[in-house]
Amino acid sequence: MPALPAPTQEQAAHFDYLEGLRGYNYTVHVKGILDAYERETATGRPEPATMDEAGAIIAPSHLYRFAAATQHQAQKMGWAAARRSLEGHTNRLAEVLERMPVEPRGRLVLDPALELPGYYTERDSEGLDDIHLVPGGYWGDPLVGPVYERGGALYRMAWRTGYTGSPPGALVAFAEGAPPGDCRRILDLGCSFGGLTMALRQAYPEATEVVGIDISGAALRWAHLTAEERGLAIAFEQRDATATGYPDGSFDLIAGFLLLHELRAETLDAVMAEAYRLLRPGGHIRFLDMPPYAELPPERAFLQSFDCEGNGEAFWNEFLSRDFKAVLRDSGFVNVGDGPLDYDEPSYWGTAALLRTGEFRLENRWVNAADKPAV
Amino acid sequence: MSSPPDPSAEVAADPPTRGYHAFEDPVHDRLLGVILALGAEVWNLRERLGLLESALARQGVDVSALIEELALDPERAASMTADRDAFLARFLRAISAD
Repeated sequence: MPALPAPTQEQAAHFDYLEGLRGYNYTVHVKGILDAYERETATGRPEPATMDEAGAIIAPSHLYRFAAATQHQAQKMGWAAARRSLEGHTNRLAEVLERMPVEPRGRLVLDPALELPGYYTERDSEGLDDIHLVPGGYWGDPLVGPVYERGGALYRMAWRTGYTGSPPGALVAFAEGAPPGDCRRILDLGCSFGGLTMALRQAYPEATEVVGIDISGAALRWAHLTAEERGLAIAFEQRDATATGYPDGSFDLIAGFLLLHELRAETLDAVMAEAYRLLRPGGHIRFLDMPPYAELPPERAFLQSFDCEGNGEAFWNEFLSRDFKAVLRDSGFVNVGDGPLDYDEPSYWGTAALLRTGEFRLENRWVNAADKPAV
Repeated sequence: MSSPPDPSAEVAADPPTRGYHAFEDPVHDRLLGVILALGAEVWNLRERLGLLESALARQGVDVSALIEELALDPERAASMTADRDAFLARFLRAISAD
């Protein structure tokens, strides 16, 4: 990734504080919530069967309210701190972002005329918080790349490493999980800062083309610069996943990471229809996202639902309540399956906001996979 | 592999609204935000003070020992008591004021 300005002592102390605050919230408050729930439900009365029944026990507690409020406040403080640490360097960063690599291995294709969907750009007027509470969302701030590099790393409790500083092993494991076969042309849908795209490039060195598409030009710019610094040949293109403009059957493998839960139901259906069209017959599609509520114990499903209201995840509940396997089947895919990503990684990384109690749990990441019929 | 979705989970699919608050009164969320922000400032001051002591020690000034010595000085303790009371009055004015 392009170098970020080194934080001052005061900024570094602030980042350290926020990481410590999050860690305390997860390991003390949230663990306390789960311990109290266990005591409450061990009294012989019928165990809650649904997340709403579990929520009726958990939500009124002071500990839950403090944990939820702390998580929400810490998230907002993190983005503000990340943005503040760039002040005084914005001109230099803008130059870095504008300066394209002289001999790029990949390419960046932006489309300033691309019409961005209202649910993405007009969240304020629709009465919704910005995605992940990032001020201005992912499209309004040209410096969203550097902001996310630092603020996203804070979310992952690793601000000194950076958001894309060390490729998460889980992404490489997920990318390598596609069935053996012809994977020369690969597409990453909704690639944002290119984390999965870079993992796909590394997992398939023989691929003739690895493409990442997103509707945020600012995110793609950062992804391109990061990939070029790593010497990875990737094409980042600004396109809408509901109508990409690529010819039928353009790709052998299509993947996506944390895209599905960011989409309205009708948009999700449109993306799946487009993905089906883009995949060659016999091609493979796979997504890494959050587990559906039905797969979680009710108390964990309730804690997971915090992100919808508390972290600007407007379509989180809608998606996690939905039968996504049925969506894939209705779109024409076959061999539809799902299950946890079997990769041992500390659960602090990238999990839902209030489920980070420190222990490793398989359901922290969930894989959906399917094939397009061969004929 | 997945089991069929829990139909009751559909109940949770209410759309969220802008301006999340965990407590019934959003003022409590804001107050917590103030406390967390103050915590950040206190931590920064503690870290910076520790760094300052380390920097002075590197220059051969054992400021930690001097601080302990000054803290036990009765004359200075009296003036600090007055400073403390003034600080508390400023800090708690919002609570004690009618």
